[in-house]
Amino acid sequence: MADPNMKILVVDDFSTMRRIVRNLLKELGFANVSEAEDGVDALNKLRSEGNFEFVVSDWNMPNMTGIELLRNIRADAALKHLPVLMVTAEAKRENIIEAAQAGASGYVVKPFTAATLDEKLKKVFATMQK
Amino acid sequence: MTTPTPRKKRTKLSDAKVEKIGLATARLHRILKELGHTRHLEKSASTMPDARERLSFIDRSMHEASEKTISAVEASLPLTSANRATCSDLSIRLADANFGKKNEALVMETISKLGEIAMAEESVRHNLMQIMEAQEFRDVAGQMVNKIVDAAVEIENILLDILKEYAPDTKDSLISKEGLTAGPGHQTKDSVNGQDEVDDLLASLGL
Repeated sequence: MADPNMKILVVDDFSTMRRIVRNLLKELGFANVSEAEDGVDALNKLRSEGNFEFVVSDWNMPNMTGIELLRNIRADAALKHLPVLMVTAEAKRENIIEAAQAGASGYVVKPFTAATLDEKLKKVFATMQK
Repeated sequence: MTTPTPRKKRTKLSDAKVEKIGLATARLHRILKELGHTRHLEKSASTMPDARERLSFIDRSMHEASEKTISAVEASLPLTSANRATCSDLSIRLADANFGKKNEALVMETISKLGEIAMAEESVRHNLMQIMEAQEFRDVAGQMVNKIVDAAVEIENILLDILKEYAPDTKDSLISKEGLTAGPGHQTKDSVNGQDEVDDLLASLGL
């Protein structure tokens, strides 16, 4: 089972969505959650705080999109190991394939439930332990 | 021997065609003016900012409603947890306490009711989580509204272009475009249906 104190970064330009994801994570036992409003903000936080262990990111955001954030994370030696779960309304096949090829750890389409999020998190943790 | 005539470029319009288009344009210009259609166009264009304002109102209302709902849920969740803990604690203490034979039935009934209250609180908590999850509509619906706003802005720009062409005295711009985000849009043929298909696709990609 994953560490409940694991520090998680939730990235979404909609404040409502960030609140929902934060609450769902809390429901699943993860209370150590920070928020970022776009990819640029996220990358700054990941680099300056340096102790995040998991990223949950939206795709469609201004300044830097989720897929760009994912590519930046994978290209950064200090961050590339970070699991990144994409949570997005982009349901096109090409989006999912692009995310997988860019190194996403999981992909959840909105709208989703706490149960879906739980399942995906567990799957990512299981893969990490392999 | 005859010299070959150079081939005409297909894209080049003949003078006759150019003249025809010119005449048609002039005619359209005249008709628009005569029939007062420029006013209709102007009216159509001027309704766009109104449409945009209404859509913005919808977006704002959705946002406020979602925020209020989530705040209420956040305030209620700890209450249900506290109530369940209280029920459990009281039940244990009541079961251990000695109220005598006379009160035994009442104590048993109280313990049983406390159990029922705890179960009801669990249902309330479950429902609160569902209310929270339902607020997700705000995200996708908000992006959809933004898409429609984009379309309204585009239609207005087209109408204004026509107006500028045929009625140069019309105001330059009736609205200014705000920075709008692209949205998820409607489902295209290439879209997946739900998480199951996402998972299937991911599995096929080895994820």
